[in-house]
Formats: sequence, structure tokens, C-alpha cells
Amino acid sequence: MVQKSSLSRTMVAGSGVVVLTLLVLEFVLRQWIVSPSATVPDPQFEYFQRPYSRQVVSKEGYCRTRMNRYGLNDDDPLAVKPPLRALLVGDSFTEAMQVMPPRNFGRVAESLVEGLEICNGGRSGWGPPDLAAFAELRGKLFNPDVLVVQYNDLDLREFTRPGEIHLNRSHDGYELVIPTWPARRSGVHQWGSWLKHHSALFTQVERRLDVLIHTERERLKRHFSPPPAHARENPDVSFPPDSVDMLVYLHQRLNRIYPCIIYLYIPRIYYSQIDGGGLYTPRHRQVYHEFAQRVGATLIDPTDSLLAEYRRSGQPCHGFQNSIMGKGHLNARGHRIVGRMLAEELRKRLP
Amino acid sequence: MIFSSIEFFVFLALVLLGLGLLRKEGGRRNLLLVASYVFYGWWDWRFCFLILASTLIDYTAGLRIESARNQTVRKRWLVVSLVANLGILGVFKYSNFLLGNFRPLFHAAGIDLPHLNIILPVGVSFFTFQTMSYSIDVYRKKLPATHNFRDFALFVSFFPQLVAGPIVRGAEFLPQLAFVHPLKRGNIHAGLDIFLRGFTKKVLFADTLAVYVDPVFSHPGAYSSPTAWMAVIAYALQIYYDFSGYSDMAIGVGKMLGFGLPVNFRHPYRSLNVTEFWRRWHISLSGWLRDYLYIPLGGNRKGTGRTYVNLMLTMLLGGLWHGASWNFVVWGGLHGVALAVHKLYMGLRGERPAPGGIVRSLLSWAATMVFVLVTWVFFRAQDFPTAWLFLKKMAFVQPRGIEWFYVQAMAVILIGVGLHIAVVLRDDRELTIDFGRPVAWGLVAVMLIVILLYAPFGNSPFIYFQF
Repeated sequence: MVQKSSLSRTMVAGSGVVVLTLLVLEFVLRQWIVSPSATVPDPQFEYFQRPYSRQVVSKEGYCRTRMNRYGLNDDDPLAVKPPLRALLVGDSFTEAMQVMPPRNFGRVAESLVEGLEICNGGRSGWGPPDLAAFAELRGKLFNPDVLVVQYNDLDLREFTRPGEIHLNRSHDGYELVIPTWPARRSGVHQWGSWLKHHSALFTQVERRLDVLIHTERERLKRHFSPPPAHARENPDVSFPPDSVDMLVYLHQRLNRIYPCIIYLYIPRIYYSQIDGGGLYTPRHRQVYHEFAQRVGATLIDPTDSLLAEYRRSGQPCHGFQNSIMGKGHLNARGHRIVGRMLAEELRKRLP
Repeated sequence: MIFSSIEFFVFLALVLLGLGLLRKEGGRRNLLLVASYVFYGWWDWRFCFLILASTLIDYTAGLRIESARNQTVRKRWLVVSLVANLGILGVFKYSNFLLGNFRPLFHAAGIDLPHLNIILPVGVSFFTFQTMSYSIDVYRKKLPATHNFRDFALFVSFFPQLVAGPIVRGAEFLPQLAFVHPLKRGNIHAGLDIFLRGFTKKVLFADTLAVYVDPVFSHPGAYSSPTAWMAVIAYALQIYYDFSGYSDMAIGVGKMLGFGLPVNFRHPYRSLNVTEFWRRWHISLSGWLRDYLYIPLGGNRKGTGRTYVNLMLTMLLGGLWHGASWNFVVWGGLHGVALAVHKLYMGLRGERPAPGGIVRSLLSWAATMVFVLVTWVFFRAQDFPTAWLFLKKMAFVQPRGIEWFYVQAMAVILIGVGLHIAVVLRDDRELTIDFGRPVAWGLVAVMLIVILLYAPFGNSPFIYFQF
């Protein structure tokens, strides 16, 4: 009897300690490290962030921001349209959840050109087909004069992704496929979603478990069937051979809606191997240049400026103190350079 | 199979379950042996035959040495064991190193020596040293030969310490095989405590530090001098947490299974001199080198000059044991010189008591640490030019470069420093978890959540696996 009550006391006290610990962790995470998930489902783009939700992101760099009415990392578009409004669509480089909002290249460009407004339509994980779909389906909400499409060198892998927005090769060219995401999910999914929306800890644990499961699955796959040597050397550099044609197709689609399109290419750079050229994937850069030449579009390529800045200051334009310096996304230095180049190009479009 | 991988947890759970279910003592023994071979074969099943061959040779040699009537036969069988083990090491670990060193010479003579495609078997340096110590101990009549082949095979292949130590000697392990106990709750709790400590050291501390260390050591020329210093400090802690983490996990798993394995580290970075460092760092290897190399060479019994020669030889070979590269030889050599200098100083000081005072101790500690850090550069760098470039960075010869102070690594360094101070204050006693207290479960919960949130996933192998 005595033993039983001692055991239950131990269990109650143990659970208390665990619960208290979890609450402290929740508070710390929510305040300084990560926000609870704030996604709302979207039938075409799977999800967006909840309008006006506050976000703290510290995975790479640091960003505290508030989403706009469209769930994007920006302020609401101005009620009175300025002389030049650009819609900037892109991936995580454009979304820029690694730097504080005033430091992202969209805002930098905006601050340098009077009469310019840039609407940030960037979202992490988007590839060329997503950008085209977003510009087509939602772009008109912003009523832009110029469309700026940002690509990075790894985007070329994103053309063919079954189940997500992708390009299908058809007999007379290509077709942009936009699958519909179900509005309602299973009960378990909804429970998980509720928890994620209310707990930063749960959100973070779920993300990390996803990463862990993915990493372990890949590792075990490699253990039982090791990939061929050439695949091990270059895991990221493959892209469809008709990438230029695909980019041209997307350009032609968008060009029907937006007469003025500017392309912005953001490279990844190996700063430690700068003497050997330094570009992560030089072939990708060539693809974008070839594409821009074919359609006669403006391509902003900040590669040389980023390299020059590194040579001048010794500091890379990618990476952060809490990630690998020189790898990953643009840091504030990189955003400043890209922002200046973007501003220069957009200044020419001012009426 | 890496201790910090999912498959190891499944494997361990199955082994513990099997041990819990098996009533017969022989069955438990068989299970441990089969499990050990499965553990090793998970990496590459072909190399199970290598362990088996090594086991057969040393088992036979042990029996023959014991039963031999005259010294010549005993010696002959000892030589058979040593040649076989050193032969395995030589072929698998050092053949390309030797060929590489002779290549320019042969090339000048018009002969091109090939590069052999040899896979280095995981843990080969550990199990060969273990079996050699057994044969030598039997030869020295310090240990009776084991007549039970299964027990001997289990001694050689016992999975917790098979691939990265601690190097267990026959005299420490074989008596424990007299009776393989069923699982005991006390052992499980104690083992879990040590295992969790090691797990945290590895996946949270060492792997986080690796994220910082690897890029800086790959391209030291690109980084600034302060970054190079922080990276080498990070590496010092990384290798400590990686290796002592593995040792703790091995000791913890051994304890869960009912076996005691020797302690391998006693907070080496609190050492006030290099001699103390080697009494606290990789203790099972230091002890092995002392008992089976330094003392047989004559130790300090053959005069002052010979003592220093023996010391240098031991440390050079100890360096070479770590890897087939001149970097390791230089690393061992530098430590040998430092040990010799310290020995000389101790000799000159004679019987006089050591000068005390906290400032003096701090200076001794700082000098020891700087020396250890500089030598780690040779240990970690890919080659001499890289090591040299790194040292130039540390000397502020070309101080400009990327300023990178990886926040997570800085946090681990701070925690590491704090833990070392705590250990000094606690007089070398480890912090332990008492699973009978509720707060312990809270601590474990926090630890596991922090690991889940912050450990860099990817199952990086333990550094000492390559040795």
C-alpha cells in the first residue's frame, strides 16, 4: 500500500516536472525562436500564412515579421497606387524570412527609388511553375506595372513534381498543371493542425520529426542500395534537358498578362572556392542567360557583384552566424546588393 | 551500425528483449555472440570473416602458448598472433600509406606503384589490439588461455566496444563471462544513465560542433584568424565529446547487458600538463601502449636517454595507430616531445613539491591547452599544407577572412566549459541521473526534446570509427 502510494506520488511529481518543462519550453520558443504554425489551407497553393499573423523565424538568420492580408511577408499594398508598382514573385530568397523585413532586397530597392512600390509575392519552396501559377491566378490582385520573377539555380529541378504544380510535356509543347488541394482533411490531420496552430513546441517538434524521418529514410535507403558514384558527387545539379524551353513556355504564358517582365537570378556561391569560379552550379546560370537571350527579357544577375563584394570585404553574401556562413540564403549584405541592382533596373521603368 | 541511429535502438531493444526472455545462461551467451556479429555485419557482412579469422588465430595461439612445453614454441605462437594481427592492420590500414611513401622513389626508377582499392574495416585497430593483448597476456602467464571458443569469440566481437573501444583486455572481460546474468533493473538504470550521457555528448554536442569545424578545416584560408581559433577549440571539444560520448554509450550498453567496461576518459581538458592529459585521454589506449609497447621497450629502466627514445617511439607509433598519415605521426611526435620535456622538468624538480597557487595552475592549464589545440590541427587537417595554413591563421599571419562564429557551436563551447568547471568543482565526479527521482524524468524529457529540436540530424559516424 505504502509502495503503491509512493509510486503514484513519484508518477504525479514526474508528470508535473515534465509538464512544467514543456510549458517553459513553449514560452521560450514562442517568444524568441519559432512561431506556432499559422497556415491556412488554399485550394490551389496548398496553404498560405494566416493574414496578419506574426512570425518569428530563427532557423537561418533571424526574422520577426507580420504577414500582410494575403499571408505574404510584406505590408499591404498601398491604397493609392504609386507611379510604379512591381510584383516580385520568387521562392525563399524573395520571401526572405532570414532577415528583418526592412533588410530584404524588395524593401531595399523600394527605399532607393522614389515612387516605387514592390509587392513581395515570395514563398519558400516555390519553383518556376508555382511562380507562374501565382502570377497568373493571384497577380492581378496587386495590379502591377512590372512583374519581377526571381529564380535560383536549384529551381530548375522543380519543373516536374507530380502532385504539385508542375509542367507536363504534351504533343504541342507544355501544359501547366495546377492540382487542387482538398479543403478538408482527416480528423487526425485536423487535430494535428489544431495543435500546430496553438503550440510553437508542437510545430517545431513536428518539423524536426519530419526532417529526422526523411533523413533516416534516405540514409537507410542508401545503406541498402547505395547510389552510383556520379549521383553521390552531384546530388543537386541535374535538371531537365529542355529547361530553357520550359522557361520560355512559362514566359510566353506570363507575357500575355504582363507586358513587362524582369527576371532576377540569385546564385549560390562557394565562397571558399572562389578562385575556382566559386559558382555552385555554373551550368544553371548559363541556362537562365540562354533563356533570357531567347525571349529578349532583362535578366538581373548579381553574381559578379556578390563575388566582388566578397573580394572587397572578405565576408560572404550568403549565410548567417546561426547557419553555415557562405551557404544557404542571402544575408543582409547580399540583400543589399541585390536590392541595389533591382532598384537600378526598376528605376528605368518609372514613367 | 551507429549507436545514435534508429536501427541501433531497434537492435538494442531486440537484444535486451531476447536477454530478458532467455532462461538459459548459454542461450544468453549465444544471443550476445550472434548479436555482435549482426552488429558488425550491418556495416559490411564480408568483414565478419575477418573478425572470425582473427578470433580463430588468437584462440589457437592462446591455447598453444599455454600448452607449449618450451619457451621457443610459446614464443613462436606469440609471433604467429602478433604477425597475424599486425598483418591485418598492415594490409588493411597501412598498405596504401606505405605504397604512397615509396611511390616517388619507384616512379623515379620507372615503376608505377598502384593505389590499392582496400576498404578499411571499421574498428580494425581496436579489435586487433584487443586480441594482441590477450595473446601477450597468455604468453606472460598473466591470463589463462580461454578454452571455450564461444567465449573467446564474444570477447573479440562484443558489440558495445567492438568498433571504437574502449580497448578491453582479456583479464578485464573474460572473467565476466563466467556467468552471463539475466537483465537487472539496477543495471538497466545505471546503463541508461551512462548511455544517455554519451548520446547527448555525441548527437547534441559533437555533431553540432562538427557543423562548424568541418567547413573551417576544409578551407582554412577562407576564414579569419579568430574563426580559426574558435574552430580549433570547437574541434577539441568535438573530438572529446564524440569519442567520450561513444565510450560512454559503449559502457552504458555494456552495463545494461550486465558487463563492466573500463573508463576511457577522465575529463582530459582539465589537465595541468601533458602527462596528466595522457592519463585522462583515451585511457585504454594509453594503458595499452604503456604495458605492451613502452615497458617491453625498456620503459625507464635502461637509462635516461633510452627512456626518452622509448617515450618518443611509443608516441610516434601511438600517433600512427590513429591513422595512416604523417599528420598523425607528427601529432604523436609532438606529444612525445612534450611528454619528454615534462619528464625532464619533473626530473630536474626532483623531490621538491610542486609550486602551488591558482595563477600558476591557470597558467599551466592554459599552456597545456594551447599545446593540445595546436597539435589537434595536425590531427584534424587533411594534409600538411592545410595544417600549415591553419597554423598560420592561428598565428594571425593572414588574419583576414570570413568571420563566422556559429551560434550553436558557441553555445556548446560555453556549455562544455561550464561542464568542465563543474567537474573540477565536483572533484572529477560525473553528474548522474537518479531514475528513482521524478525530476530525473523531467531532465530526460528536456534533454530528449532539446536533442530533437537542435541536434543536426544525419547520423555522422563517430570520428574514431576511422581508426
